[in-house]
Amino acid sequence: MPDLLTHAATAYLLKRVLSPRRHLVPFLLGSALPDLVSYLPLAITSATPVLARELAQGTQVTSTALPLWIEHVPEFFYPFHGILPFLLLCGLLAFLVPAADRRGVFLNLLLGGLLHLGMDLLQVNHHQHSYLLFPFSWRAYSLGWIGTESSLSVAPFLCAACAAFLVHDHRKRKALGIPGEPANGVSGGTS
Amino acid sequence: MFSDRFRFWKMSSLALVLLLLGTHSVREGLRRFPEIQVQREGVRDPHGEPVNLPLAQVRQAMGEGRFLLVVTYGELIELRSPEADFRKGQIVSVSGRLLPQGYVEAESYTVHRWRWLKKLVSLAAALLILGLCGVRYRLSWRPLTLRERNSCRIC
Repeated sequence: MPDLLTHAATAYLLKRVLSPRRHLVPFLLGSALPDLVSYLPLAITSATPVLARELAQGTQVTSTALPLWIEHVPEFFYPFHGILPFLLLCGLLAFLVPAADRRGVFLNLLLGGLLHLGMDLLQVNHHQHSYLLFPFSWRAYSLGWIGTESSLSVAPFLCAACAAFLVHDHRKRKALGIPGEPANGVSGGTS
Repeated sequence: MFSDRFRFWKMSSLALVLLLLGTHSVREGLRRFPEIQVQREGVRDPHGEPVNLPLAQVRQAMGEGRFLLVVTYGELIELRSPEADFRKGQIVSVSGRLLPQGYVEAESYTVHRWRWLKKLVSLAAALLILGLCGVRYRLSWRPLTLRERNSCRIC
């Protein structure tokens, strides 16, 4: 997977250029959510102090200080990097917002997530747990066009473009005299 | 579909399906992709079976193309790869064959030199996005809803 900064910057630029800025946050969240949900538990369990100490000693984790099932917790969350579970997750999250916004939030979460999965598809996949078509297939699909850390070389340019847009919008808003709200003339109206 | 009618039941059903999918992943995933230690115990074939070690850390370079790797949850694996030149502490992904003697013979490998930077940058981006969510929405408990604030200048 490319780094989250590349995912988020690409999502911001795409949203800013192609569609109005309403529901920008759900779109950004959607673009990061597959990794946040599926790999964060892995990072957390790996960073557990007891686990970290045992890893440093190079011993297998069988200590009584940590229940054995904890090492299988990440397995539970891997499917969220697949299309169907992610769709259901977007539905669940969309029900948290008021009914008037629900459809827009759902669509933007979903489209952000699909952008994320599309970008991941371009990359070499060393991790066999990216079940894209779960539960129908357990394969980790990958086109293998770019390396796992190659996205880091693009990230600064994408961030610079995002910063340019933000500064431009800020100036335009200031000129129009509407400090808090997105300016209609700058970024369109509603989605 | 997105109306407030039966909202609780719709949310509960979605959560239940996700719970079932996760449970299925744990049960079936462990069978389909056994961990290296399970695979190592079960290996019988002298020609070896394919094995994948993603993001393993080099713990020791023992010379003559032999390396000690730390893989998932602290398991130690001896890797043999005459052409590789790993250094201690490097993160590598290796595909190879598991041999009955218990070591892995590498067929291909990748060194992840910038893994630390990727983690750092990803962490920053995750915090930024979660921070934006916090700025944009506030949680109200009764009923459980995320309500929009209008104070965010970026979003």
